[in-house]
Amino acid sequence: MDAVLRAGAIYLALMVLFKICGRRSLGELTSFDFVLLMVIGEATQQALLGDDFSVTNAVLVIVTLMVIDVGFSLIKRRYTRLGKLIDGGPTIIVENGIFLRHRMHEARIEEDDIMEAARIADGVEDVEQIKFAIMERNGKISIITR
Amino acid sequence: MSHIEQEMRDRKYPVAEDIALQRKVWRFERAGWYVLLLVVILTLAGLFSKGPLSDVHATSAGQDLTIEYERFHRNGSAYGMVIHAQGQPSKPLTILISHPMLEGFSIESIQPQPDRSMGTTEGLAISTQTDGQGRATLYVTWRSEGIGLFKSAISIPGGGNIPITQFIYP
Repeated sequence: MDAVLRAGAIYLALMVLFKICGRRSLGELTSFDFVLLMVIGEATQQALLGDDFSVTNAVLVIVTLMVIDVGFSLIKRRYTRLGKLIDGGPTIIVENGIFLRHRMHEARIEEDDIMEAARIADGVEDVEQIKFAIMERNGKISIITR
Repeated sequence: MSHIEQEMRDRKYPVAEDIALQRKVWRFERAGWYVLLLVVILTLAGLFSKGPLSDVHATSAGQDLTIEYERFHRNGSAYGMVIHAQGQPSKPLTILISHPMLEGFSIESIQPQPDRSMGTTEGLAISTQTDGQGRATLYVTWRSEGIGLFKSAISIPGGGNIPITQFIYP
């Protein structure tokens, strides 16, 4: 019983925490973010397994996590509004060469972040060349040039 | 229409937006950060064990029993309790640990080793020897095994009684 409860509690806690940290924190991984993710994994491991290191327990925990994960995606497909609430939706942050600064401020995105994504994606030099920059659900910024 | 309203209007092209919902998500992120900060501060203060909020130094009304313990615990963790008791010089002294504490915690070690320990209907009675001034000190290491609130007491039969309330986080 406790394998399911542990996995469920950790899944929920991680989901809420990553929601709070926002999309940016996961989308663009710097090497430090990568280390941070590994440390989070280490910290989670003990709470997931407790003092039971059996194969059965490990399998039960994994099965529970997968059931919750797939279950959530099924629920999100059924109720699109809930899906938007959990995953967010795509948001336009540059429109016809103009930064939408209020949106950027609330989404905690800097001009530099957008220009970096633009340079990497399309070799864009100036914001004037961007028709749309969109913050996608996975935290990446996609660029549509004019 | 003001500039900000203009900007926060839903766009339909190239993606269909729901800015009102998105702004709620952003507000949640912002408020959430303060909640996380509060959790960190409360952790430093000891709300989740090991800190000023958790440490308790309790003395019985008759001054014959003093206990240092922690109020908050986490399931599976260990902590040390110190029991100072005052009795007759160089005589055996019995300390009674009530039943609920033994349900929430298990004893990992007791130093010094008690002369006698006995399970009674009320709990665990531990007998130890006092020194020349009638003092005895017990160091008990507990491991928390339960979850939730435990109301117990440690007492000297016929002497001081200290009620103890402890909470074990899952």
